[in-house]
Amino acid sequence: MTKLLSALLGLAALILVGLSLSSGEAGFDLSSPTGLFVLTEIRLPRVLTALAVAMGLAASTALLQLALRSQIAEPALFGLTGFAGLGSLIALSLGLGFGSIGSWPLAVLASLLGILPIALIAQRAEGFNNRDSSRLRNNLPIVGVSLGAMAVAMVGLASAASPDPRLRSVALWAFGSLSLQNLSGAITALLLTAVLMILTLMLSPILQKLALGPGILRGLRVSTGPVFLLAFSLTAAFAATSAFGTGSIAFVGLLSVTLGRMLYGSKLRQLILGSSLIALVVVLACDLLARSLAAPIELPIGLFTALVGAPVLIWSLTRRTRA
Amino acid sequence: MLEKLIELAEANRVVRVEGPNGSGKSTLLLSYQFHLSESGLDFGVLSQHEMVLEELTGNELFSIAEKPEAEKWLSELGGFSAINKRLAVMSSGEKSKVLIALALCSQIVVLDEPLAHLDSQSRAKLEEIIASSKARFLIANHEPGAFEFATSLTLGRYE
Repeated sequence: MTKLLSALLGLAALILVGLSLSSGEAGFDLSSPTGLFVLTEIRLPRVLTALAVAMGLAASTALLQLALRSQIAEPALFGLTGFAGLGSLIALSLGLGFGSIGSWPLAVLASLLGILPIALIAQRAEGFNNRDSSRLRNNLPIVGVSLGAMAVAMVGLASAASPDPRLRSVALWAFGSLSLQNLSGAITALLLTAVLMILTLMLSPILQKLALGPGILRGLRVSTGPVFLLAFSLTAAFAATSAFGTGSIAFVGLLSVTLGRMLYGSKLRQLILGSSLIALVVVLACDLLARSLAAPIELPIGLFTALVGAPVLIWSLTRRTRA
Repeated sequence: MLEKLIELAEANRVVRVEGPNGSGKSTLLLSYQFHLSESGLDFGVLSQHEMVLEELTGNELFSIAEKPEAEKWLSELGGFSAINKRLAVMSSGEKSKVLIALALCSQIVVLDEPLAHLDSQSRAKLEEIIASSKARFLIANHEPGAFEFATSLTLGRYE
């Protein structure tokens, strides 16, 4: 059943890649220089960016949910991608190119600062398993969403000062777009995501131990501090890599990991790989809508991911009583 | 009180901490867990405020903890039918059995009110397992008549 669904998802992703590469104003014409340019400089970067964004958001969400042991945590809703955008804008004002490899460390740093309050509260709740930790943990999602709202506000303000008119848009930073990356930027994002992905998959047996919670881990003599730090750092790095050249795309991570858990279970390696595939289908489909619904005007992709993802969040919050 | 407990636990294989609600049983057990981890000892634990990712199934829990033998304990406790359910949708009793099964894989086992959600048959089974086990047990339990083979430490209510 899972294999069949995975095959169908793979097929859907391939069809969507084909559609992304072939559809649009300029048609599909490899014989003309314009047609070739459109394919390699405009459509191919979009598809590569979609792949990087899908993997980044799925992995970031799976890791954040693991570190917080909450199935409703999400890097974009919690502001991590927003802070990464802020880092990108700061890099831009320092003369580093938009989406360039030089701007990436700043985006990661900003995202790490964004995750710090959540990490500190979560760490405090780890210390003792009693009533206080339950209360702290129950309030964490609200803390996260508040940070998310702050991130959107800050990135919106900062974008007003951007020298590039394309980037002077609150909507872009708050809802994201795959249209801004050129080919080298897209390849950079994809390579960085791939490196993080390999690292995460290799470390997954240790990382996933966090799911057991502090009490059981103490008994197994796993020192949670370093693992915790690693999980939060990877969460922020994935979120930043997905956002530093595209802006903040919400609900993709949540949607894909929620469905991913149902299809592939909650062991980290399967969950991340499976959720990445689901996320790819979601990102490609929403991007097609974003660029064709009001063509030639390009809409932010996050409008569509929110329309699909928010109902899934509500559903996932209310489905607990069913097996 | 902790010193007294450590002393008792060293001299006896099964120690039961009893006392009314709010007498500090859970707190004492938690201090004891910190004592064990500072001494570099492995232990299994069932606590009142467990913080496991509720999306895990019993199977995934055992596999992530690298304790495949927990399956055997779960069958013995009569909870094997729950192994592929997510913790979030298990009944309290099923969830208790899964967490107790995991705890039973260690040579030192700390159980905070293990009987709380169990039916009478499973209670009897758990008592039997503990009585015949070679592992050391520390159990918080407020019900009279349970774990009669254990050495008891009685806590009073704080005024």
